[in-house]
Amino acid sequence: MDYSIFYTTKHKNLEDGSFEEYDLFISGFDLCERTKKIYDEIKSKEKVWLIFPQYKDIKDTDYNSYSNYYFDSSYEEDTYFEKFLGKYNVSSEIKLCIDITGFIRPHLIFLIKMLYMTGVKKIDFLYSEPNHYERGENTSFTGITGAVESVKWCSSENNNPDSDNDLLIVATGYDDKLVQKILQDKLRVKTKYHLIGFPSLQLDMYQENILKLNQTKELVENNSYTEFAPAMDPFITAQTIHDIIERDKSYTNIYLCPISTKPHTLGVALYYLNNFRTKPVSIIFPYSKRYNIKTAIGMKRIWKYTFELP
Amino acid sequence: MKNLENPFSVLKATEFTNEEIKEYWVDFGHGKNSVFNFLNPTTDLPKYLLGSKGTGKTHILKYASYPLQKLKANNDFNKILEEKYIGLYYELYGYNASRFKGKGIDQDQWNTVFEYYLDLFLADKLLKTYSEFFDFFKVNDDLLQSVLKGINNLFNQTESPLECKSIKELIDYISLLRKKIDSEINNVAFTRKFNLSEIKSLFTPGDLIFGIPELISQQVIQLKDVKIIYILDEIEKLEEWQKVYINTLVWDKRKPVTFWLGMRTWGYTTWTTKSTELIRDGHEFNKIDLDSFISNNQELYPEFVSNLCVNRLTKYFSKRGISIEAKNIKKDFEDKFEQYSEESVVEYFSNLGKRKELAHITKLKEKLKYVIKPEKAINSFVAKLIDDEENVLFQKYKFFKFYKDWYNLDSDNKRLKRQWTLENIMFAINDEFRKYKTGSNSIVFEEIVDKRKKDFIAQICVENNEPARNIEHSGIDSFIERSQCNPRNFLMILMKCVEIGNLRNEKTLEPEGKVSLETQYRALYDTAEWFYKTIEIKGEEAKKLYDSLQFLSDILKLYRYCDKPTETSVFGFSITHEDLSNEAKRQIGDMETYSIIVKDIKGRKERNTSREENRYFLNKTLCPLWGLPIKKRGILDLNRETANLIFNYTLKNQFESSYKKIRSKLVAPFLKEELTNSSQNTLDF
Repeated sequence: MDYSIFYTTKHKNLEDGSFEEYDLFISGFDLCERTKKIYDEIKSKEKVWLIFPQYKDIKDTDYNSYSNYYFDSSYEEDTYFEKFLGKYNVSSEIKLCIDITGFIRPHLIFLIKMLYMTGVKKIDFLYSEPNHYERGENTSFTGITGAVESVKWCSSENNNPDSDNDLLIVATGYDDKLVQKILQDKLRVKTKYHLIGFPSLQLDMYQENILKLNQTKELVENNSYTEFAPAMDPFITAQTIHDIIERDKSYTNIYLCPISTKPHTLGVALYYLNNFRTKPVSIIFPYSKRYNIKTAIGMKRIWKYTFELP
Repeated sequence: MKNLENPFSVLKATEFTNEEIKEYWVDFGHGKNSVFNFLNPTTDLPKYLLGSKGTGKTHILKYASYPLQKLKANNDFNKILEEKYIGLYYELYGYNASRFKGKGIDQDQWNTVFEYYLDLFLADKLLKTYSEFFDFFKVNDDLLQSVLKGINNLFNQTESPLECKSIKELIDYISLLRKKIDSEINNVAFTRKFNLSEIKSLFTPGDLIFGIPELISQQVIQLKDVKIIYILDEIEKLEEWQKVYINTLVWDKRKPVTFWLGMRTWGYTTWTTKSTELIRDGHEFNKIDLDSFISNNQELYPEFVSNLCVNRLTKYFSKRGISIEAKNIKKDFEDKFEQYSEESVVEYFSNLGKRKELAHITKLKEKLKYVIKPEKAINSFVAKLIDDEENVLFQKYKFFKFYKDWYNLDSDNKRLKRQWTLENIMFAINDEFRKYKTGSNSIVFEEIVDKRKKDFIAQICVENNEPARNIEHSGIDSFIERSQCNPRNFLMILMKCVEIGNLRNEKTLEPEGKVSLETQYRALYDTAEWFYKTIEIKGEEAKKLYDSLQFLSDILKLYRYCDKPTETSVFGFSITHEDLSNEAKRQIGDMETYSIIVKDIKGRKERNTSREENRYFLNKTLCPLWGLPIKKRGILDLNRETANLIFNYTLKNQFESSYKKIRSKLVAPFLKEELTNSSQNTLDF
């Protein structure tokens, strides 16, 4: 599979004529100006805000002026989306756009898998790039971190009872608490790769990322490697994951963990969808019941990724 | 085998190849002290091997496993069978146990799927291993078909009889069944109900893992009476109900099968079986607690970790073509560590004090502003108190006595009039100290020197922003003590010494190399930080534990770095359990389980009431984080109120005001008003 054939475009705003009218537009409500702006300006027959219970600082008065929002109080992505398809008409021909900026990662991955299994063949994803994060490398995105578990519907379908040559690829981000939880939980995995966003979203973010990674270095001393994929490119991310995995055909189990940028998360999801039937691959995540809102400042540009699903 | 640049950099057995597991194996002792004396693979009784992280569980369990048996026997299967057991090692993180829950499926169904899948999961390695023995012994086809027929019959709930004609066919069939379940477990997140035809059990749980060894043991003569030990590591990764099933298997085990279960101490949480019967230590299984074993054999621990160190160094040098005798390796390595000397520290700061005002003097002047007016009188007052004494430690002794006497003045409302009284105190101190210096009898200062010397040296270093000079004890023996009976902590300190030493160009492992005090301090601090960050506790419980640890360290630090310490070299505390709330008791239990605090097995009676007190010490590996000592001397008696504030999460908001209250009695100017002054609630540290 060559992931580089997919389209990535970048835009200053939505008014440059590159955006068609969609049938359905989905976005995660995180109270950030950048997500609101896109939601307001995008052309779509139907638009829906997803309200996630993990954003505890969001009050219902923040979003109930919008006519169309989807809420479920469940923290688990499978239960959260249980009624989604009954509420929105999703067919294989639908013109669908998802702004991933305000999403919670496991929910994003589950939704993509759900749409894929429903037969959706093409999705446009948008990601609005922040100018910077609120507190640089000390920005905290999550509350207390709970267990590391497989993202629902994304565990391995080819689980190998032998774990001698397991592989963990962590798309490593700012949130070192999450990185630490993953490394601790998968301490025994023999080979570990850190996929760092480079080029990063902003120039200083790469250094901040490395600073964060350094704080976890005692957990990853040996058999640990670093690879790079552009922070805003899901296709090169998927390609890099593919390349790592193809280097050693004898990996017994493969764990992918997306805790860096949302475009990296898309790349992880794309790789999984193309390989879960044949490889012992799972997506895992250090779950948290609380996410902070408004961690990013400003909007620099918008990225559009067009997925053509297998 | 890896050619490690830092011989101590591998800290986990999981990073070793099988060859390295063998090469780097060091037993805890010989004969009755050997680990395998109490694990004893020849007995049928299952073993629960408990230990905190880094105690070596995985290395032990892997060393006993089949791949290592092969290596040790040079692939001579007859030799392996002399051991009368085959150890099948499984890392349960690979089982992904958290998949078996939720997704709209009721618990009974999950129980069934989990139990069914576990047989299939364990049977894979079992069959592959037996297959190697069959090949070696050239088991004839008639016998093989007879064995296979027996195994096929175990699948007694298939619609048509199973007819696998080879072990490989059987393994493939089991793999297919597993794959179907994997797929169902995954898809049920969306479908919300199982396709029951895909996950229908084709045998009774336990039939494969007990039935296959039973059959083979009966039919293949070479494998008669050869035990199969299922070695399941990381039991703590399982949900509670999943552990109950494992206990049930332990209860129901059939010859020739037995179990060894490896788990973190905190993962040992249930003794229940599915029939609600309890399995009992010494009856249905033997519990082996590595932490207790090591701490009960503390005289063996130094030799054990020294051997670990020498083993690593020997491999390191031999890979570089350097052959050195083990005893010389040890001595050469020990000699590289710069020795700590209190005299050097005191001399350094005394000399520094000649060039600039040291922090303890500046601080005293600041504090005296509360009681000496006009302010310009303060300088001469302090100069008189110092009395030309250049030795910084002697200055500290005098200052301590001054703070103590100041505190004892009883004139809260006439503070400004104290000046004459403070002067009297100052003159009296100078007279007394002269007696001490000239060798005349000064009980006061002899006691201060005896009790406070180490604490004051620590204070001098910290107050003057040079905490690295306060290493207190240096070298390998000190690291062994600081590792708190945990081999990984010890190796981590050494790893850091080499890593930091190399960065500082100390060429640690080269013949002329050394490990400076600064490097040793940084290594100890980094190790403490690593230990602190990797406490394996999750969610709300983690927050509670870290809060309690913060409060506890604040209090211990206060008692060491205050103006008027009342205890000597404190890093432990005593409490009476009956004074504690249930929440505080639970928290202390958790902190002990996660090795944050260590219980002193001796305990003691409370002075006044003779009630039994429990004594705990902070894990010595953590002590450098807060500049706390590691030698037991003083102990802090925590009263009911303070103990509950530290350990009872529900009272956390009251901790700060209580802390200030304690602080106002220990830190000059001893103001009760400080209770309302939030800016002074922490020490400069």
